[in-house]
Amino acid sequence: MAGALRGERVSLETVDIDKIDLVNQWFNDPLITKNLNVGVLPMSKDKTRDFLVRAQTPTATDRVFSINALDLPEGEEAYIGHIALHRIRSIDRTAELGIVIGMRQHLNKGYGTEAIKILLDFAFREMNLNRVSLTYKDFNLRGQKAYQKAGFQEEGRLREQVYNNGRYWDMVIMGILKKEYLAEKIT
Amino acid sequence: MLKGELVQLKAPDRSALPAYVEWLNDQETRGYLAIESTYPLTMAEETNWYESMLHKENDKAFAIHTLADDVLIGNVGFHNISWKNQAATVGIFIGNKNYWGKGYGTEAMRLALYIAFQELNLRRVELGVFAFNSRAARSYEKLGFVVEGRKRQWVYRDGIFHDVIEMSMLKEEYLERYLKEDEKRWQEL
Repeated sequence: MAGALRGERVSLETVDIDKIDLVNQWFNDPLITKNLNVGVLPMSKDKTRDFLVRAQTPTATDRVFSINALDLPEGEEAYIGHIALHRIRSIDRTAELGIVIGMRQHLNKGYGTEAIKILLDFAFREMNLNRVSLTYKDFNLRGQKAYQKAGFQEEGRLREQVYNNGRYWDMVIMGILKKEYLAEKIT
Repeated sequence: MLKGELVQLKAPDRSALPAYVEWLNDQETRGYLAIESTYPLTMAEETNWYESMLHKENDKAFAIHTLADDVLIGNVGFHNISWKNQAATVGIFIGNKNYWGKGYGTEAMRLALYIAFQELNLRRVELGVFAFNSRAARSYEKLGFVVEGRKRQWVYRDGIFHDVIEMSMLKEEYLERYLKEDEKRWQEL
Protein backbone atom coordinates (compact mmCIF):
# COMPACT_ATOMS: atom_id res chain seq x y z
CA MET A 1 0.00 0.00 0.00
CA ALA A 2 1.30 3.44 -0.87
CA GLY A 3 2.38 5.62 1.99
CA ALA A 4 2.68 2.72 4.39
CA LEU A 5 5.36 2.83 7.03
CA ARG A 6 7.83 0.28 5.72
CA GLY A 7 10.64 -1.56 7.38
CA GLU A 8 12.63 -4.51 6.15
CA ARG A 9 10.29 -7.28 7.25
CA VAL A 10 7.07 -5.49 8.18
CA SER A 11 5.02 -2.55 7.07
CA LEU A 12 2.47 -0.66 9.10
CA GLU A 13 -0.75 -0.05 7.23
CA THR A 14 -4.33 0.82 7.93
CA VAL A 15 -6.63 -1.50 9.87
CA ASP A 16 -8.74 -3.66 7.58
CA ILE A 17 -12.27 -4.46 8.72
CA ASP A 18 -12.42 -7.31 6.20
CA LYS A 19 -9.95 -9.17 8.42
CA ILE A 20 -12.64 -9.57 11.09
CA ASP A 21 -12.59 -13.39 11.09
CA LEU A 22 -8.81 -13.44 11.37
CA VAL A 23 -8.71 -10.84 14.13
CA ASN A 24 -11.52 -12.61 15.97
CA GLN A 25 -9.30 -15.73 15.98
CA TRP A 26 -6.45 -13.78 17.58
CA PHE A 27 -8.81 -12.46 20.23
CA ASN A 28 -9.97 -15.98 21.05
CA ASP A 29 -6.54 -17.55 21.44
CA PRO A 30 -5.65 -17.43 25.15
CA LEU A 31 -1.94 -17.78 24.34
CA ILE A 32 -2.27 -14.38 22.67
CA THR A 33 -4.87 -12.70 24.87
CA LYS A 34 -3.37 -13.58 28.25
CA ASN A 35 -0.84 -10.82 27.58
CA LEU A 36 -3.43 -8.27 26.46
CA ASN A 37 -5.65 -6.04 28.55
CA VAL A 38 -8.73 -7.93 27.34
CA GLY A 39 -7.57 -11.18 28.95
CA VAL A 40 -8.48 -14.77 28.12
CA LEU A 41 -12.27 -14.63 28.02
CA PRO A 42 -13.73 -15.32 24.58
CA MET A 43 -14.60 -12.34 22.38
CA SER A 44 -17.63 -12.27 20.13
CA LYS A 45 -17.46 -11.34 16.49
CA ASP A 46 -19.67 -8.33 17.19
CA LYS A 47 -17.23 -7.02 19.80
CA THR A 48 -14.37 -7.60 17.39
CA ARG A 49 -16.24 -5.64 14.73
CA ASP A 50 -16.76 -2.74 17.19
CA PHE A 51 -13.04 -2.77 17.87
CA LEU A 52 -12.10 -2.76 14.18
CA VAL A 53 -14.56 0.00 13.34
CA ARG A 54 -13.04 2.18 16.03
CA ALA A 55 -9.49 1.12 15.11
CA GLN A 56 -9.79 2.09 11.47
CA THR A 57 -10.90 5.59 12.36
CA PRO A 58 -7.91 7.59 13.61
CA THR A 59 -8.74 10.21 16.22
CA ALA A 60 -6.75 12.92 17.93
CA THR A 61 -5.97 10.49 20.72
CA ASP A 62 -5.71 7.06 19.08
CA ARG A 63 -3.99 5.67 15.98
CA VAL A 64 -4.10 1.97 15.19
CA PHE A 65 -2.08 0.31 12.42
CA SER A 66 -1.98 -3.19 11.06
CA ILE A 67 1.32 -5.05 11.06
CA ASN A 68 1.98 -6.74 7.74
CA ALA A 69 4.80 -9.21 7.18
CA LEU A 70 6.79 -8.58 4.00
CA ASP A 71 8.83 -11.75 3.93
CA LEU A 72 6.19 -14.50 3.97
CA PRO A 73 5.69 -16.81 0.99
CA GLU A 74 3.18 -15.68 -1.61
CA GLY A 75 -0.34 -16.63 -0.58
CA GLU A 76 0.31 -16.79 3.16
CA GLU A 77 -1.68 -14.38 5.34
CA ALA A 78 0.55 -11.33 5.82
CA TYR A 79 -1.78 -9.40 8.15
CA ILE A 80 -0.21 -10.59 11.39
CA GLY A 81 -0.97 -8.00 14.05
CA HIS A 82 -1.92 -4.54 15.21
CA ILE A 83 0.11 -1.79 16.79
CA ALA A 84 -1.24 1.45 18.21
CA LEU A 85 -0.61 4.70 19.94
CA HIS A 86 -3.30 5.42 22.51
CA ARG A 87 -4.05 8.36 24.77
CA ILE A 88 -2.06 10.75 22.63
CA ARG A 89 -1.76 14.02 24.56
CA SER A 90 -1.18 16.99 22.31
CA ILE A 91 0.27 19.39 24.88
CA ASP A 92 2.43 16.89 26.74
CA ARG A 93 3.51 15.12 23.51
CA THR A 94 3.02 11.65 25.01
CA ALA A 95 1.33 8.44 23.95
CA GLU A 96 0.94 4.83 25.11
CA LEU A 97 1.97 2.01 22.86
CA GLY A 98 -0.02 -1.19 22.45
CA ILE A 99 0.81 -4.15 20.21
CA VAL A 100 -0.39 -7.61 19.35
CA ILE A 101 1.06 -10.23 17.05
CA GLY A 102 -2.02 -12.40 16.67
CA MET A 103 -0.73 -15.55 15.06
CA ARG A 104 1.20 -18.08 17.08
CA GLN A 105 3.49 -19.08 14.25
CA HIS A 106 4.78 -15.52 13.94
CA LEU A 107 5.71 -15.01 17.59
CA ASN A 108 9.37 -14.68 18.57
CA LYS A 109 10.38 -13.89 15.00
CA GLY A 110 11.24 -10.23 15.46
CA TYR A 111 8.14 -8.88 13.71
CA GLY A 112 6.87 -7.14 16.83
CA THR A 113 10.22 -5.58 17.62
CA GLU A 114 10.56 -4.15 14.13
CA ALA A 115 6.98 -2.88 14.17
CA ILE A 116 7.69 -1.07 17.43
CA LYS A 117 10.83 0.50 15.98
CA ILE A 118 8.93 1.73 12.93
CA LEU A 119 6.17 3.16 15.07
CA LEU A 120 8.67 4.88 17.38
CA ASP A 121 10.30 6.47 14.36
CA PHE A 122 6.91 7.74 13.28
CA ALA A 123 6.04 8.89 16.79
CA PHE A 124 9.25 10.84 17.37
CA ARG A 125 10.21 12.02 13.89
CA GLU A 126 6.78 12.56 12.35
CA MET A 127 4.36 13.19 15.16
CA ASN A 128 6.94 14.99 17.27
CA LEU A 129 6.03 13.16 20.45
CA ASN A 130 8.42 13.51 23.36
CA ARG A 131 7.64 10.33 25.21
CA VAL A 132 6.11 6.94 24.47
CA SER A 133 5.25 4.61 27.32
CA LEU A 134 3.67 1.19 27.72
CA THR A 135 2.75 -1.30 30.37
CA TYR A 136 2.97 -5.07 30.28
CA LYS A 137 1.82 -7.82 32.60
CA ASP A 138 4.64 -9.09 34.78
CA PHE A 139 4.48 -12.57 33.29
CA ASN A 140 4.80 -11.34 29.71
CA LEU A 141 8.48 -12.08 29.15
CA ARG A 142 8.13 -12.13 25.38
CA GLY A 143 6.85 -8.55 25.49
CA GLN A 144 9.53 -7.47 27.92
CA LYS A 145 12.26 -8.72 25.61
CA ALA A 146 10.85 -6.95 22.56
CA TYR A 147 10.38 -3.65 24.41
CA GLN A 148 13.92 -3.71 25.77
CA LYS A 149 15.27 -4.42 22.29
CA ALA A 150 13.31 -1.47 20.94
CA GLY A 151 14.92 0.82 23.51
CA PHE A 152 12.33 1.07 26.25
CA GLN A 153 13.49 1.15 29.84
CA GLU A 154 11.66 0.11 32.96
CA GLU A 155 10.33 3.02 35.01
CA GLY A 156 8.27 1.37 37.68
CA ARG A 157 5.48 -0.99 38.36
CA LEU A 158 1.80 -0.77 39.13
CA ARG A 159 1.61 -3.29 41.92
CA GLU A 160 -1.10 -5.93 41.63
CA GLN A 161 -2.82 -3.97 38.90
CA VAL A 162 -4.32 -6.89 37.00
CA TYR A 163 -6.12 -10.15 37.84
CA ASN A 164 -5.44 -13.24 35.73
CA ASN A 165 -5.42 -16.96 36.42
CA GLY A 166 -6.50 -16.55 40.00
CA ARG A 167 -4.14 -13.87 41.25
CA TYR A 168 -3.05 -10.28 40.99
CA TRP A 169 -0.04 -9.41 38.88
CA ASP A 170 2.03 -6.25 38.63
CA MET A 171 1.96 -4.16 35.47
CA VAL A 172 5.46 -3.01 34.57
CA ILE A 173 5.75 0.53 33.17
CA MET A 174 8.30 1.23 30.49
CA GLY A 175 9.08 4.40 28.60
CA ILE A 176 11.32 5.89 25.96
CA LEU A 177 12.02 9.57 25.35
CA LYS A 178 12.61 11.32 22.06
CA LYS A 179 16.19 12.26 22.97
CA GLU A 180 16.97 8.64 23.85
CA TYR A 181 15.49 7.43 20.59
CA LEU A 182 17.37 10.00 18.49
CA ALA A 183 20.68 9.38 20.30
CA GLU A 184 20.39 5.65 19.67
CA LYS A 185 19.48 6.31 16.07
CA ILE A 186 22.68 8.30 15.45
CA THR A 187 25.09 5.82 17.04
CA MET B 1 -8.02 -22.32 29.33
CA LEU B 2 -11.54 -22.53 28.01
CA LYS B 3 -11.13 -25.93 26.45
CA GLY B 4 -11.73 -29.19 28.24
CA GLU B 5 -11.76 -32.71 26.90
CA LEU B 6 -15.35 -32.69 25.65
CA VAL B 7 -16.33 -29.06 25.34
CA GLN B 8 -15.03 -25.55 24.81
CA LEU B 9 -16.55 -22.22 25.81
CA LYS B 10 -16.83 -19.50 23.21
CA ALA B 11 -18.42 -16.10 22.91
CA PRO B 12 -22.06 -16.48 21.84
CA ASP B 13 -22.50 -15.57 18.21
CA ARG B 14 -25.51 -13.80 16.77
CA SER B 15 -26.00 -16.72 14.39
CA ALA B 16 -26.68 -19.02 17.37
CA LEU B 17 -29.85 -17.21 18.42
CA PRO B 18 -32.34 -19.29 16.39
CA ALA B 19 -30.97 -22.46 18.00
CA TYR B 20 -31.29 -20.92 21.47
CA VAL B 21 -34.89 -19.95 20.77
CA GLU B 22 -35.72 -23.45 19.60
CA TRP B 23 -34.09 -25.07 22.62
CA LEU B 24 -35.56 -22.72 25.17
CA ASN B 25 -39.04 -23.36 23.75
CA ASP B 26 -38.64 -27.11 24.09
CA GLN B 27 -41.03 -28.21 26.83
CA GLU B 28 -38.65 -30.69 28.44
CA THR B 29 -35.63 -28.35 28.46
CA ARG B 30 -37.73 -25.42 29.53
CA GLY B 31 -39.10 -27.44 32.42
CA TYR B 32 -35.70 -27.40 34.13
CA LEU B 33 -35.00 -23.72 33.63
CA ALA B 34 -35.99 -20.83 35.82
CA ILE B 35 -36.97 -18.60 32.97
CA GLU B 36 -39.69 -16.17 33.80
CA SER B 37 -40.46 -15.12 30.26
CA THR B 38 -43.79 -16.01 28.77
CA TYR B 39 -43.98 -18.97 26.46
CA PRO B 40 -43.11 -19.00 23.66
CA LEU B 41 -39.81 -17.18 23.67
CA THR B 42 -39.55 -15.11 20.50
CA MET B 43 -36.60 -14.33 18.28
CA ALA B 44 -37.14 -10.65 19.14
CA GLU B 45 -36.77 -11.31 22.86
CA GLU B 46 -33.70 -13.45 22.33
CA THR B 47 -32.13 -10.81 20.08
CA ASN B 48 -32.76 -8.23 22.80
CA TRP B 49 -31.04 -10.51 25.29
CA TYR B 50 -28.06 -10.86 22.98
CA GLU B 51 -27.77 -7.14 22.27
CA SER B 52 -27.97 -6.23 25.95
CA MET B 53 -25.40 -8.92 26.77
CA LEU B 54 -22.85 -7.16 24.56
CA HIS B 55 -22.89 -4.11 26.80
CA LYS B 56 -23.92 -5.36 30.23
CA GLU B 57 -21.23 -5.36 32.85
CA ASN B 58 -22.85 -7.76 35.29
CA ASP B 59 -23.96 -10.55 32.98
CA LYS B 60 -21.63 -12.82 31.02
CA ALA B 61 -22.70 -15.60 28.68
CA PHE B 62 -20.66 -18.33 27.00
CA ALA B 63 -21.65 -20.67 24.21
CA ILE B 64 -20.91 -24.34 24.85
CA HIS B 65 -19.42 -26.07 21.81
CA THR B 66 -18.16 -29.62 21.50
CA LEU B 67 -14.39 -29.78 21.34
CA ALA B 68 -14.26 -32.53 18.72
CA ASP B 69 -16.44 -31.00 16.01
CA ASP B 70 -17.26 -27.51 17.30
CA VAL B 71 -21.04 -28.12 17.45
CA LEU B 72 -23.03 -25.61 19.50
CA ILE B 73 -24.88 -27.55 22.21
CA GLY B 74 -25.90 -25.04 24.88
CA ASN B 75 -25.06 -22.04 26.98
CA VAL B 76 -23.64 -21.21 30.38
CA GLY B 77 -23.66 -17.76 31.94
CA PHE B 78 -23.29 -15.64 35.03
CA HIS B 79 -26.13 -13.38 36.06
CA ASN B 80 -26.39 -10.62 38.58
CA ILE B 81 -22.66 -10.44 39.05
CA SER B 82 -22.03 -8.35 42.12
CA TRP B 83 -18.52 -7.01 41.63
CA LYS B 84 -18.40 -5.49 45.07
CA ASN B 85 -19.42 -8.72 46.78
CA GLN B 86 -17.47 -10.84 44.27
CA ALA B 87 -20.44 -13.14 43.77
CA ALA B 88 -22.67 -14.30 40.94
CA THR B 89 -25.41 -16.73 40.01
CA VAL B 90 -24.62 -19.30 37.35
CA GLY B 91 -27.08 -20.84 34.91
CA ILE B 92 -26.54 -23.55 32.32
CA PHE B 93 -28.45 -25.56 29.78
CA ILE B 94 -27.57 -28.14 27.17
CA GLY B 95 -30.12 -27.66 24.43
CA ASN B 96 -29.04 -30.47 22.15
CA LYS B 97 -30.43 -33.57 23.84
CA ASN B 98 -27.93 -35.89 22.16
CA TYR B 99 -25.46 -34.50 24.67
CA TRP B 100 -27.51 -35.01 27.81
CA GLY B 101 -26.17 -37.29 30.51
CA LYS B 102 -22.70 -37.69 28.98
CA GLY B 103 -20.65 -35.23 30.99
CA TYR B 104 -20.78 -32.34 28.54
CA GLY B 105 -22.74 -30.07 30.87
CA THR B 106 -20.60 -31.00 33.84
CA GLU B 107 -17.42 -30.10 32.03
CA ALA B 108 -18.90 -26.86 30.66
CA MET B 109 -19.77 -25.85 34.23
CA ARG B 110 -16.27 -26.73 35.37
CA LEU B 111 -14.79 -24.39 32.72
CA ALA B 112 -17.28 -21.70 33.68
CA LEU B 113 -16.10 -21.99 37.27
CA TYR B 114 -12.54 -21.39 36.07
CA ILE B 115 -13.75 -18.17 34.49
CA ALA B 116 -15.62 -17.13 37.61
CA PHE B 117 -12.90 -17.72 40.16
CA GLN B 118 -9.67 -17.39 38.22
CA GLU B 119 -10.49 -14.69 35.68
CA LEU B 120 -13.49 -12.72 36.99
CA ASN B 121 -12.12 -12.64 40.54
CA LEU B 122 -15.33 -13.89 42.13
CA ARG B 123 -15.40 -15.53 45.54
CA ARG B 124 -18.81 -17.15 45.46
CA VAL B 125 -20.89 -18.77 42.73
CA GLU B 126 -24.42 -19.88 43.46
CA LEU B 127 -27.18 -21.65 41.60
CA GLY B 128 -30.65 -23.01 42.12
CA VAL B 129 -31.78 -26.41 40.88
CA PHE B 130 -35.36 -27.65 40.89
CA ALA B 131 -35.87 -30.45 43.40
CA PHE B 132 -37.02 -32.86 40.68
CA ASN B 133 -33.92 -32.25 38.51
CA SER B 134 -31.69 -34.81 40.17
CA ARG B 135 -29.46 -35.28 37.12
CA ALA B 136 -28.36 -31.65 37.32
CA ALA B 137 -28.03 -31.72 41.10
CA ARG B 138 -25.73 -34.75 40.88
CA SER B 139 -23.61 -32.98 38.29
CA TYR B 140 -23.22 -29.89 40.49
CA GLU B 141 -22.37 -32.00 43.55
CA LYS B 142 -19.78 -33.91 41.56
CA LEU B 143 -18.14 -30.60 40.70
CA GLY B 144 -18.01 -29.59 44.34
CA PHE B 145 -21.08 -27.41 44.82
CA VAL B 146 -22.39 -27.50 48.36
CA VAL B 147 -26.08 -27.61 49.23
CA GLU B 148 -26.91 -24.68 51.44
CA GLY B 149 -30.64 -24.52 51.50
CA ARG B 150 -34.02 -25.20 50.02
CA LYS B 151 -36.52 -22.64 48.86
CA ARG B 152 -39.84 -24.34 49.53
CA GLN B 153 -42.55 -24.32 46.86
CA TRP B 154 -40.61 -21.80 44.82
CA VAL B 155 -41.63 -22.74 41.31
CA TYR B 156 -44.93 -23.71 39.72
CA ARG B 157 -44.55 -26.40 37.06
CA ASP B 158 -46.95 -28.99 35.70
CA GLY B 159 -49.71 -27.97 38.03
CA ILE B 160 -47.87 -28.09 41.34
CA PHE B 161 -45.29 -26.14 43.30
CA HIS B 162 -41.76 -27.48 43.57
CA ASP B 163 -38.89 -26.73 45.93
CA VAL B 164 -35.61 -25.32 44.68
CA ILE B 165 -32.31 -26.56 46.08
CA GLU B 166 -29.82 -23.78 46.65
CA MET B 167 -26.17 -24.64 46.03
CA SER B 168 -22.97 -22.66 46.03
CA MET B 169 -19.22 -22.91 45.71
CA LEU B 170 -16.64 -20.68 47.34
CA LYS B 171 -13.27 -19.82 45.88
CA GLU B 172 -11.33 -21.76 48.51
CA GLU B 173 -13.38 -24.84 47.75
CA TYR B 174 -12.72 -24.37 44.06
CA LEU B 175 -8.97 -23.97 44.55
CA GLU B 176 -8.74 -27.07 46.70
CA ARG B 177 -10.06 -29.14 43.82
CA TYR B 178 -8.85 -27.37 40.72
CA LEU B 179 -5.81 -25.20 41.47
CA LYS B 180 -3.25 -27.77 40.29
CA GLU B 181 -5.08 -28.40 37.05
CA ASP B 182 -5.45 -24.67 36.37
CA GLU B 183 -1.79 -23.94 37.05
CA LYS B 184 -0.76 -26.69 34.68
CA ARG B 185 -2.95 -25.36 31.89
CA TRP B 186 -1.71 -21.80 32.47
CA GLN B 187 1.93 -22.92 32.28
CA GLU B 188 1.24 -24.86 29.11
CA LEU B 189 -0.18 -21.83 27.32
